[in-house]
Amino acid sequence: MNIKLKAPISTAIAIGVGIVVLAGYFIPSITNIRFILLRTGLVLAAVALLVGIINLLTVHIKKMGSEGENSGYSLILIITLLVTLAVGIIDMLQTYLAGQPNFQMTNWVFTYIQLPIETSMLAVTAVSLTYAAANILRKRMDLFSITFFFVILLVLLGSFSVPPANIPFLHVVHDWIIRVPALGGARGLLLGIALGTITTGIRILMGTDRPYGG
Amino acid sequence: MNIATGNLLDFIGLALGFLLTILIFSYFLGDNPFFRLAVHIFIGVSAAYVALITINNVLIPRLILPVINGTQGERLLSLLLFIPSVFILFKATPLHKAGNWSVAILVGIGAAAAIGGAITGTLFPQILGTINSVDPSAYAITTSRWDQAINGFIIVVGTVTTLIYFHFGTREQTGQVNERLPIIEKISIIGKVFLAITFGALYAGVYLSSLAALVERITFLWEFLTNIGFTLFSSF
Repeated sequence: MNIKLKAPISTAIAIGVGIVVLAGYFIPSITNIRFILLRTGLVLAAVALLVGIINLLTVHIKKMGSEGENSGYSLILIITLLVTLAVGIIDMLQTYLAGQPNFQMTNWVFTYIQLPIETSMLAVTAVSLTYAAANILRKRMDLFSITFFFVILLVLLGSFSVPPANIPFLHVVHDWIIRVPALGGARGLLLGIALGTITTGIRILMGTDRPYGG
Repeated sequence: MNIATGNLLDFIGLALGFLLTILIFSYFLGDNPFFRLAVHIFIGVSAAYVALITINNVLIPRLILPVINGTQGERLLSLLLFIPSVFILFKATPLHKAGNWSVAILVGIGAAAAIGGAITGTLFPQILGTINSVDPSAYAITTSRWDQAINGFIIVVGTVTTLIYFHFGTREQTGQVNERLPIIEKISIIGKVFLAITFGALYAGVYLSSLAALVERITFLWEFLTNIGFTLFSSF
């Protein structure tokens, strides 16, 4: 076996830190070290998120410079990002320097800009989902599609409580589907995801996967 | 929503919300510049909002405030935390390789926390839940034991066959196409049916949520227009 180790220091740090955190779950005497490391991870994740936002900003500044078809949208994105940041920073300064917890302007941006767009996008998916559900059987007529379609139909009909569509038998069927077969499938999925997470985690802790440039 | 009694800032906000809703709803006519404009506004505002939440809820209380008014140990820990935090910022510059060791700390901690979380938060509780569904001592006394036994059996079959559906291991055979064992192939069909039921139930749930959002938005548009009408007529 020939392993090319490009970044031995980074790999050693990742493995060492990971093993200490993992051991902290099973050895009570090092629980405090685990908590300190988890706090470190939380702060680093927060800084990494800021790096991601800086990257988003740089990409759109570059796009704006290229004078392409979408450069106008990039300008809008940059303006909205910077204005919202400025508003939030003013609110934060008021809170921490003047000692008055007041996020009125940030709340205004959230309530009147972000919330309407988010809700409208979810509303738009209602139409897309109706179209997709109507097309399922037309595109593919197999066991999976038929089961999928009829489960959607039964769960939807069983959810209505408006008098003409309020059929007690469908409520019973709806409850049974959610409580028994859907639960079985969801458990299988969750266990599969957990096993996949454990496998990926072990690969990182063994140094087989090095997503930090090693 | 009552525009007549609200202040100007609220009215501007509601008008902005109305406009943005119309821009997003223009997608019903297909992809268009108005929809894209609203999406870019959304990305900009969301990114900034997430950054603000992160700074306010994580960086200030866990990195900055302990340096200012923490104990000596907290101050030292926070100062030490500044070093990898600054190096991680290098990832956004041409000197991005300098931040690799900081990312390694993050990845190492993240991997270990994910393993611990998956074992204690998902694996054990879900296995216990599956076992309890066929354990007669855990049955409720309010409903028939036979009902619970049959339902429990279906849950176990669903869980096991769904897991088997995701088993893609094959025997290596030279000169032949690698296929799953026939028994695995047959069991995975049952797993596929359970998956279809689960995804169907999830799909219906998402659909109901989106319908609720659609009704809320249409009500908002209608109320806004009605209130505007009310304000205009009351001014005469």
